Amino acid sequence: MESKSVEILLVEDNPYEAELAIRGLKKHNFANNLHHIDDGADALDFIFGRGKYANSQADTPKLILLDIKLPRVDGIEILRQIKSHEKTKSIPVVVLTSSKENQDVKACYELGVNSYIVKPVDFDSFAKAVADLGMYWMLLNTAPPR
Amino acid sequence: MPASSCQIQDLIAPANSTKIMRLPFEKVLIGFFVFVTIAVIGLAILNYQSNRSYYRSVAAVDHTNEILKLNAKALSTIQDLTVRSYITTGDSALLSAYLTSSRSLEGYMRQLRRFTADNADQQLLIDSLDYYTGERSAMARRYLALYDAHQLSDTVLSDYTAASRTGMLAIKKLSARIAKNEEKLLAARTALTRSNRERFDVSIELVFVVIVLLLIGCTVAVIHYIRQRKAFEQDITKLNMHLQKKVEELRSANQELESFSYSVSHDLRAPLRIIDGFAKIVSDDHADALNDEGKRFIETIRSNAQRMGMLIDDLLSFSRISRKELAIREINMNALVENVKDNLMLIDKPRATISIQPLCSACCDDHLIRQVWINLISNALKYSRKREHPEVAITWEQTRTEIIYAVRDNGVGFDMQYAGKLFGVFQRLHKATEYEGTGVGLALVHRIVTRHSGRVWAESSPDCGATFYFSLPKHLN
Repeated sequence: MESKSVEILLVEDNPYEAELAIRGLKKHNFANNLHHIDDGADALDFIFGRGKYANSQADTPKLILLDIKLPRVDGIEILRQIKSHEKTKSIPVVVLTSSKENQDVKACYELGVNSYIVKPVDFDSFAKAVADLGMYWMLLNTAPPR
Repeated sequence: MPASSCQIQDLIAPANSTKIMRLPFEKVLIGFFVFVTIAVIGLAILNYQSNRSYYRSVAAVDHTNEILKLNAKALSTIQDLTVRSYITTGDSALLSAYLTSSRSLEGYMRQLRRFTADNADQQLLIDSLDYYTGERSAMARRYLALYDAHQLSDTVLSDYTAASRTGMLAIKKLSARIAKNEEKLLAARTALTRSNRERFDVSIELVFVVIVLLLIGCTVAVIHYIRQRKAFEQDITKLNMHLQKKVEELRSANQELESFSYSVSHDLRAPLRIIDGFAKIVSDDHADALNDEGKRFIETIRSNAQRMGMLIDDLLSFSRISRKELAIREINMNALVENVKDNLMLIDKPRATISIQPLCSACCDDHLIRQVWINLISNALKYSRKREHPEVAITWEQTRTEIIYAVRDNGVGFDMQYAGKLFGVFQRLHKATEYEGTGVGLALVHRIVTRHSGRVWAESSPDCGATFYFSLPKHLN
């Protein structure tokens, strides 16, 4: 599993939330090469090929969907590290969170987030939002050259 | 809260009581200074008068002394008014001494008369003195003539001596009476001078007493005010410290509130989304396994989860707007309301006609006041949509201090007896099945307008439409 190229990295600690997001993406066939991590530190290891991911040959993902509240390392710190490393800073990061708090939105944009989406409570809207962002980032948007 | 307001009262109380204490002290002080002023004026008059009468009596004593001296001089001159020595010796120097005395006596007598002009007794005595002096003078002249005619004999000479002695005796008696009178006067005047001098001294002493009193009064006042000032400063410091503590408490309460709404935002919404999401999955993927009732239950779960999501969202935006700092600037209200209207027409596509009177601009936070207009206009649209011709009118008026905006509709209205509930959070006057909503919109309007130091109120009666007013102060800093 680690060797195959990962297109979308989903960092989300709530397994049910993750299941719903994956379901939304799957409906439009964006979830084929999706990897789900439920812990902030593990996510950093994965992105930077460290720790238990040190030997994986996986490419950096094409898109990172990031929650803000995460165990061990929070989403904002992950975003900061991604955007401050030469190798990872061009990966599009979409923060997908329940928080509409100004401080979070402001912090994420200051760190260079590519998109900030507040998850709607209504599942239909949520599914549509997830599908739309898959559509936009995976199909419409031209990824930076590797 | 009541406990803390009590504490503030307690802290203010000492300051108040010193204020009450201050009043009589000031009255006493003012009374004291009035007294001192009157005393100074009185003493000045007394001083002036006693000084004057003292100098007057000193002058009177001098005058009396002068008279005494004159009297003595006159007497000795009168004594010299004799030619006996000349006619016995024939020394011409003695004759010229007689002549000089005779001349100067006239002056002395005139002076004496003038000096005692105010004293009838003395004048009478002087008259007598004049008479005897005249006699003596005439006698001298007579004997001088006899001498010149060489008709003097020893008998004549001894007659002259005897007559001169008798005259002189009377003259001395008179002179002594004059002197005695003057000495009596002198004694009286000297006593008066002494008493005037004493009065003057007493008034000077009183001046010193008043100066000392004044100094004591000033010192007491200064000490009192210094003490009072210190007490006030202490009160102020105490109040400041208390205020500082309250500010800290408020700050931490605010931080708590912030973290509370933060976790509400994060933690409460996620489970709702999961409930809704899985209910949706059940209805999408497992519809076959459910009968109609089961499907209805799933829909009920979903609609309630969604409603709770809305409630949380509204509550969060309510708390966020309450905490947001106001960014006040002058806003073109007309453009803002037109824009709100256009957006609402675009989203809801209502059948209503919205008329907007040209509005006066106002100083406010445009983001927040936009929210007020959105809430009021969409409310008006919502509650008038069942009318055949829904109408919404936006007008304004102004008073001396505020600008009042009004949104009127011809909708269902409400009973004024429930008007008190209108602006409370989650308070609704209509059933959710008739008119959707969470009951936060008007609470938000109220909160925003109140934060602008404005007022918000409504007028309505059932089925006759409603008018919502909000005011903004003309001078908002």
